[in-house]
Amino acid sequence: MQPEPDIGDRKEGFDSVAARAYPALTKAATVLCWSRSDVDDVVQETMLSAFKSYGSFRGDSSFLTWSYRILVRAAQAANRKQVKFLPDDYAASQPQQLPPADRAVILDEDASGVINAIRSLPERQREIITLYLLKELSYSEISSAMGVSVGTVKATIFQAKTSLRAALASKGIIRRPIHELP
Amino acid sequence: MNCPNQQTISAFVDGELEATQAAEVKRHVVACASCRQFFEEMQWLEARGRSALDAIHVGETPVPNVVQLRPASRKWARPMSLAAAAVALLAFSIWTWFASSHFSSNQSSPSPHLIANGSATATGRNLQSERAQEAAFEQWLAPYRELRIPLVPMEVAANYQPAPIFPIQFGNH
Repeated sequence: MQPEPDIGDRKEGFDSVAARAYPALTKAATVLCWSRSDVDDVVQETMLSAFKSYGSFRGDSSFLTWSYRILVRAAQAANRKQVKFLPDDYAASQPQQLPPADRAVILDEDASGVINAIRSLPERQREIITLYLLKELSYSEISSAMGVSVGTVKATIFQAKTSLRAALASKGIIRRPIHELP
Repeated sequence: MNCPNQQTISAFVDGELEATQAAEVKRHVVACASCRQFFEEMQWLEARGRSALDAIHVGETPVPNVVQLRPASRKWARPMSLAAAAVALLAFSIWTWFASSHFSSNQSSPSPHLIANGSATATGRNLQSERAQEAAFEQWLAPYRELRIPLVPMEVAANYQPAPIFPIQFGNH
């Protein structure tokens, strides 16, 4: 049996990159998770899975980008459990929508409206647009991170932006042209 | 005027068009009011989205202690488990003391830590009993996982010294 790699060095390298990525992963989990109570667990599971497969991390993308896909799967699993507890009449026609986020974690009213609009998107659009907004990545970087084609990323981001624009407009959040500002 | 489709303008906002096409779209956006409005809305949307994510409150960033995260290494210790271990150790010590005082024997009592570990032998590792212990520990841990009681860092657990309740004498009298 092969000896395990030196856990000390691996742990030290992992701890520093994980600590840097932690805030962004937590923000992403806040957007992607059904319930606020799942956010910490989902991030912890992501860190654990990332540590286990850290040996396969080549460093050709950032740790955040690499671990984002793990986070998405963990959030999906957590959300599937929540679906069991839905009341029967809750948005049966659009089961992939998330309910509004806990107000305690988003202190800004306008930001809260935008986050809830993102949460109302279908699951795939929500996942891709969150990564797109979290970090300034190219379409090809997002496609590697999410394991989909560049064309899918391009189309999904466009659909998400269009849906987001409509969702924000329905909440009265629209862009005001400069000449209309006071 | 032939307007590019909105998906192309969206890709232009994201800097994803190749140079020639980007230049063409840029010239058109300058000249066409409706495409310019869509272009500016896409820019605004991106800016609002990014600032909304920035506004999410994360709180103090804990340094992830990977050893705490690894379920394979059973090195967690919690205050209650340490207290429970101390009580178990005390109970066995009292039992040993009574046993040695009531049943005279030339052998000294086995060390308390060996009794507490459940290992009958002082040498070697009893893998089966270790696995059974791990399973029992997992079962015990499950409700604490649910309640998400914070873990004790390893350094604190390693240096933990339970306060003795009263002094215990081992060995023959």
